[in-house]
Amino acid sequence: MAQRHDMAELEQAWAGIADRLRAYFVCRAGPTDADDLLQDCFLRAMGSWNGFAGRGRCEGWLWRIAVRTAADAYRRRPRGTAPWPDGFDPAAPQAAATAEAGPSAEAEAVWAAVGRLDPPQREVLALRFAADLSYAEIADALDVPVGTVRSRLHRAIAGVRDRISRADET
Amino acid sequence: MDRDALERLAMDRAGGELDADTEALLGAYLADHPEARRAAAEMESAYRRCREAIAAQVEAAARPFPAGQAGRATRAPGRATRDSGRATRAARAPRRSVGRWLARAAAVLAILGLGAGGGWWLGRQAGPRTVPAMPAAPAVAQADVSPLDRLGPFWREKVATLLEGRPAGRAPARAGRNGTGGRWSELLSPDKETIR
Repeated sequence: MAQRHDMAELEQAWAGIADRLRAYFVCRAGPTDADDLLQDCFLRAMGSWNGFAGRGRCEGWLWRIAVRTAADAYRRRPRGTAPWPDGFDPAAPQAAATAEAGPSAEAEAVWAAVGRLDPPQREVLALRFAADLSYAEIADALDVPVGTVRSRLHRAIAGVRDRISRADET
Repeated sequence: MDRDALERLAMDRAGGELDADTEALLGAYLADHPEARRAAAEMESAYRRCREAIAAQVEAAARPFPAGQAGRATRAPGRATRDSGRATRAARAPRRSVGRWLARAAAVLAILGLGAGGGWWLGRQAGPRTVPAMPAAPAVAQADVSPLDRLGPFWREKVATLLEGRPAGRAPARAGRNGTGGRWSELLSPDKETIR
């Protein structure tokens, strides 16, 4: 009976953040692999649920699993593939698009600039903007202090801003 | 204030992570320092652009997670792997549907080929069929009919009038394309020589 109650808790937690988890995986690995990563994340959570149940906040635990799942997928990616997920192509014409070309071109330029960031910075951006997590939740998911999260986020946004301004100048 | 510290504060303010007191202090500071205000505005603009670009990409790839899948799996843990496989198969459905249609087309072609081959074989077993000869049509001696005779009475009279008006012994006005004679000479059968 206790086991059934625990599974209901996992089900409830999963249903509450499934959309944001998928958005996070889209940002980390692209839309093509996002569903596979989501399934992988769910299976990992199912497999280790008995060891976790009742030992903390379920959502934070799921986010930690999601971060590990994305990191493992990033390490397992075929050698020679681009370090950015699907849709990131800095060599594409839209990557050099400037703000004058319209809002969608600007969004593409920003997206391409995000793809050129270091993985830790991109990770923080994905957790912040795609998963819509607070600084404290990001820190919990990454197991780092909140100050580190702020620092990485600041560096990431400043890096995007510099790349966009350079593209605007050229 | 240090530029990095200012940018971090501006970023926190854009993300709603600043408490009310700190935000009020930052506002007062920026009101007195236009250069800092410009830097903060630049940082907040970059923050918003990042958020909008990522949201646009995520929205473009948005597809709702299959409702109830988590519920089914948690109610029956042993089915989690099967559900995962089902989802993977669903993701590959377009490719599989093409293969299914190709298989169907191949089956139809195979059935048609068997039918055609069987029909040919059965026909061969029955032996060559004898087709009753059609009665021969009466041969028309085309050579005996002169071109003038093929014309109606009106045109025959016209041509005869024209031929009568032509000077006797004169060669045709224009040689034929092959140099052997004109159109008029074609109309003349041997018995029409008397007209000349």
